[in-house]
Amino acid sequence: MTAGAVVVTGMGAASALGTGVAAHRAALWAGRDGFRPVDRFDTQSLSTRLAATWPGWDGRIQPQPGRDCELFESAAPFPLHELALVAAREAWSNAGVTTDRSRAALVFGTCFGHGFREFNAVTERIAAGLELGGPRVTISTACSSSTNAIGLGRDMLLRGHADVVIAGGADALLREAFAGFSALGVLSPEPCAPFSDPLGTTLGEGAGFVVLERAEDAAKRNAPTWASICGYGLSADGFHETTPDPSGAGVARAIRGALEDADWRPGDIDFVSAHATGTANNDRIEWSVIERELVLGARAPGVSGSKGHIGHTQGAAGALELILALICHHEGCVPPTLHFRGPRSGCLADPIAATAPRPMPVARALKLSAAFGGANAVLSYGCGVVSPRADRTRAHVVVTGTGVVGSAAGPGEDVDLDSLGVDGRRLDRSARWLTAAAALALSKEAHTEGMDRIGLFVAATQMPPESAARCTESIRKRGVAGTSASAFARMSVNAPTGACTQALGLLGPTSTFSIGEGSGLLAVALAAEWLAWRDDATRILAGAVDEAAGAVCVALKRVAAADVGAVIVAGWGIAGPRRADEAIARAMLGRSPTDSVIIDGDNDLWSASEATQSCVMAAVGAKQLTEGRARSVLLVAARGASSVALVLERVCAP
Amino acid sequence: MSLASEVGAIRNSAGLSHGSHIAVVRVDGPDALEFLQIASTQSPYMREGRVRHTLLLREDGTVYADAFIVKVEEAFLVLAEGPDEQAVVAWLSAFKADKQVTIQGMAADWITLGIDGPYAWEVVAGLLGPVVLGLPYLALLRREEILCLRAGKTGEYGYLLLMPRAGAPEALTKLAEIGKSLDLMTVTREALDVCALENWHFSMRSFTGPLTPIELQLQWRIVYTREFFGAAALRARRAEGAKTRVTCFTSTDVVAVGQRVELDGIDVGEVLAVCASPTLGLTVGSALLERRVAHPHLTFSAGSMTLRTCTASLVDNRSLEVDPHKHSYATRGT
Amino acid sequence: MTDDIALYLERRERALREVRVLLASIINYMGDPTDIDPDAGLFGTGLGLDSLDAVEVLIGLEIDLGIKLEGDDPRRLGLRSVNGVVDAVMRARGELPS
Repeated sequence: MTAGAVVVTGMGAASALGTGVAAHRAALWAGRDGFRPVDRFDTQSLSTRLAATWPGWDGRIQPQPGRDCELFESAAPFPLHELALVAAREAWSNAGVTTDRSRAALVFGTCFGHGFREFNAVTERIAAGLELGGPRVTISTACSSSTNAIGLGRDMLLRGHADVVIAGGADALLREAFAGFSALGVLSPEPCAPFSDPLGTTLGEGAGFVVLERAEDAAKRNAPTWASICGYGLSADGFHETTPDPSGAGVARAIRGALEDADWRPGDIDFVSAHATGTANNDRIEWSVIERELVLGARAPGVSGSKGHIGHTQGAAGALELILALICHHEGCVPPTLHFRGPRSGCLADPIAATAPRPMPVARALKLSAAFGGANAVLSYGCGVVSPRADRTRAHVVVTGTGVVGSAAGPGEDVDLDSLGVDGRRLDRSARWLTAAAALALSKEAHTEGMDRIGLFVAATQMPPESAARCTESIRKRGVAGTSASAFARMSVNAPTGACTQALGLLGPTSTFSIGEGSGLLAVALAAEWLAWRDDATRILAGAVDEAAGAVCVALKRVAAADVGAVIVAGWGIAGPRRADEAIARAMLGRSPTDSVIIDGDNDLWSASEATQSCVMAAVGAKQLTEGRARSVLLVAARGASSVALVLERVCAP
Repeated sequence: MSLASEVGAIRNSAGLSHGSHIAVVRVDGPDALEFLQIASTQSPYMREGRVRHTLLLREDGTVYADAFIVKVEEAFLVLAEGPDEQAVVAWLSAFKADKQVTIQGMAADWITLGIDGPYAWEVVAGLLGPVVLGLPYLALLRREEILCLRAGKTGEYGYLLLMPRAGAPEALTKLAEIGKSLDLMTVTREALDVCALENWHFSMRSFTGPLTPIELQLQWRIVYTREFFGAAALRARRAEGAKTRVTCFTSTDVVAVGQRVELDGIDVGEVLAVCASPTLGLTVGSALLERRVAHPHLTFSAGSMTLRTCTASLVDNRSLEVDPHKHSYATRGT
Repeated sequence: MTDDIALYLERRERALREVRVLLASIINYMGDPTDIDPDAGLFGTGLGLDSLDAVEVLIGLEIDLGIKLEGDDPRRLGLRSVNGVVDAVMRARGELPS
């Protein structure tokens, strides 16, 4: 039996190269980039004027923030969902899907959302625009968001949560983000030249989406396909907010995860679309990893980076760069690296240095992404006939511990990380909450197993307020040129996740996502799904954090057989909004009714928040079972962008 | 080679030292993390790739050893200066109680090399590859059998290389080869100590005597809310208020360790450490002074000699001007 | 002790207090700022500030203490230890003996 293949049947793109796949194809063959001086806001005091902005924006000047403006009130140049919908609609129509949209899911990746403030709301608007009835999930792992989104989209098809998925990402060029990257000193004065000179990146904006279907569904309707998504890998660097792990071990783990998921060997890879930001650290470390992991003697894959064309499109980067590669593969070519002026020390000699796509047969390829917070994501994709891997045996997943801190646990001002043996310096409040909950949930024996096999999945619906406020304050007091680099680096939605992986050394798969209400329960379901069907992690901490409320973590472990008395995650289901019935049916499949039911929003037992509430439910449910108050419990959260149901059971003697 | 030329190499190119003065002790077992939480003033990082600069204290809160702790696979390595390896093993073993840990000296099988200087990174990159260039301070890199810690104490780029004894001759030959064009010079521990004092890095050999991190200005390695060996005494000391503090000074005179220090004829402390600084052409030292006067830019007398306290980091290190991503020894000064 | 020295020490202690509070806020220091030693290093060793924090020190001096320094690399401005920052503050206030 095979897991089934997932194919790309539609693509849509909007970036500095233009709007639509055809415009991108034309630019690729014309050797044209999308860089131009920014005119929508003042760049006078910043390190460069250059960016890769979307020409679809009408060119209005952005309003200046008032002295007492709300958090980034004037940050967004246009509604993010409008940019996203341009690409999403194209992808949808390119796929020509005619099936019922009630089981069509959206997985949307974004770094800064709409003006730093709206994340899940943007996802909802895109789903509404496309009239999708299936689950909607927002992934926010900074610059690897859309790569992660496409990987999760594939899993949702394989595991039956949806029948068609549109996955990708979008980000606009926001003045404060531009200033933040400028303050970090990573912007190049000239067009981004990956693996070459000068050092530094150029920021871009755009949206990229792919429509994913199960291969058999696409075959049934004779739909042409662009590629197969064969697997993906996620990992945490756990090293620093912005500096990648110099050993490259994190990127290497994500590559191995993607290879393993596709059942490929390192020597199988024909092409790598690199993250290749152009910065000194990224390019050298990334190349050293590719060389170590994928170059076997004379057998070396072609490697190129697309940021010389479209700049660093942030959360959309992975999806857009995959689309550029697929456009080229479709015509028997690979995309070039633009602006190459000779190799940089420590980098490869020929990253497809050319102004037009180069002919090269590609059967198996990887798309690499790395992000602030140390969140790495790698997709393995195939062109032509690539047989999917044999399906793995579903493992059992047991709950090994829980940790609850903040108002959800009872009164308490802050948390004493020192008493947990954790170095809490330089962490903001969200990061401290999450790290404390994770440390409490993680059992002692975990430290003697491989820490690179312990993952962290976190539900977070907003940027961490303390760091975001510090960043805003720095701008208010000093203007955009005085943007606090450290606060900027710590204010991404996934920053607390990254800080927690760093503090506790959790180097396995990591992700940060939300569905609004019910996000915490989704974290538990996705962590259980990962452990059940993959063997590149032994444990995953599923958690939720909200600075105002606290944090919750549930530790899950993959086991071959669960001991009597253990609490197992017996089943789970994810469905569209207000589709509790469908989620419950999937979670309960083949099971007798549970003795206990906990429904999100039914009571106010816990003064938790949007993100944490449903995760507390899982912790409470697990406690009921371990204390023998019930043998099984059904948890339901159906107030958010997706409905989630989860069944916990205590294993009884046969 | 003279001490001055060795210091010159560390300040201008790179110096290679043999780290036989560094005890390397491996702590392993299910309770290793918990054990080190108690043995060391700082909680060790739980992940590989980061180095923690910490202290081992005696029960009375005085400093027993200056140590780096790193995690390597599922074990920890303690790299301690001060006592020798046997002493560190015995010291750690003494309070392991019922904890499941094994404590083992590594000197029989491993050697430690130090490479310090504004172009030390170029030497190490020659051996381990360009991946070294992006290694931040207090980070660890593993390349096959070699462990590389960026953890210098001279104010310049500094690396410690740990490797199995069997592989050392080959690595040393290679380093010598790489070092030719980089003016790599073999330097002694004394040269490292002079550089440490010039740059006001703590060194166990310069600061003898029963002093706690409070007097030694090493409280950045202390978290007072943690429970570690010596914490209770340290907290008591802090509560009663420390009376003295070490302070950096320079002098154009020759000053001796143990000399009393006076301000306006009033005895306020004593000289703890001195060296003749080849880099500054002055005497550089440290004095333990009464806290109220333990500040820079004051003139004291020690017998007939004059001392002037100063703000630490007297040396304008060349490393501050050198960027591994942009520069090289061959093109220095251009 | 002469009056000059007494006055200098009083001003130095005051500047040190201000600098400790500034640095504590930059690194989210959870302890008592008076535990920050005057000769502790700022970058790498000591307080462990990184390149992200470097600019914060300069900007903090400007915003919180009203002291503007020309240049963007604190280490090249002599701000390598807590006392280095205290010196800069006192120099700007004309409180440092020549």
